[in-house]
Amino acid sequence: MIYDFNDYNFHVWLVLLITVALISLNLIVPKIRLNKINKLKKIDKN
Amino acid sequence: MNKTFSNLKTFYHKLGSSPWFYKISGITIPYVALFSFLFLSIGIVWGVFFSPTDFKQGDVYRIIYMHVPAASVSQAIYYTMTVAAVVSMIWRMKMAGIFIKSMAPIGASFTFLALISGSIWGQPTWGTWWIWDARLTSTLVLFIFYIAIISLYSSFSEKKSADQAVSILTLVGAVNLPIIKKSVDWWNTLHQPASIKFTESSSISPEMLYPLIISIFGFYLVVLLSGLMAMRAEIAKREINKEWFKNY
Repeated sequence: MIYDFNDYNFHVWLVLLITVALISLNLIVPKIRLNKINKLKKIDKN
Repeated sequence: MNKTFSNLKTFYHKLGSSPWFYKISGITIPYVALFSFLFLSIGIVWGVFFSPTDFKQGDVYRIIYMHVPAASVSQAIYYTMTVAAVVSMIWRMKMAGIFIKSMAPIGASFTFLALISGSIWGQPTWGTWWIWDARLTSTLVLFIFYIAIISLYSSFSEKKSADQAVSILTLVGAVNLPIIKKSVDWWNTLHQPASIKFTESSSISPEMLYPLIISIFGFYLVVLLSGLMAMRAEIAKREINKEWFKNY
């Protein structure tokens, strides 16, 4: 287990952080793009 | 057999329809999201927190649970983009262009993750952040191709021309894929050969292998999820003035 935070564990935590950030980015960006387009569609309808 | 072929043919034709894809992806996304979150969290939590410590590398080897899946999906995405490029060039299918446009940033981000995690892993184990090793260099070339595809696409204002130009570039870049795969066999590299083998027994302990397989599966599901979401956004952008989209 890697609860004790030594130098090498820091490397693992850093990679874990980058992984979570990149996956989140890949999911959030298209969601925001689609929401913007749907908002435009609503304005257009009204 | 004939019925299966006919069903596949119908499915292939349906894939070319953006309204059908938009509707079906909207239904499947919540399920894919659920399973990707499940597999990814089990794989990574098991691997990073509960798998045994390596007797040589200690805990730093746990980077494998992010590095290997990222490297695997980064190449798999390019393979699928190559198929889409062929379809786009031969049949001029609009959805193939949308697929390449949507998948390129996802592929670039996972290739970046494979490179950066490899670099962070290399520092304590190889004693260097980077070396011009065949595997590392060919993966860097893959990353450059992804960036080139994204840049080329954004340089066109007309979507059809962009799809064709990007398809040609994608096919050129496909030459690099077997080089990445075989780089560890063709050259003397610092990077180790594959630990997971399908034809013979893997050189990794089962206690470490199982969470790795689950993590790889989770990464593939996340790619599917982000791909579906990105394609929906791209379809919406391109078809904003179409009647079916206005009424959806």
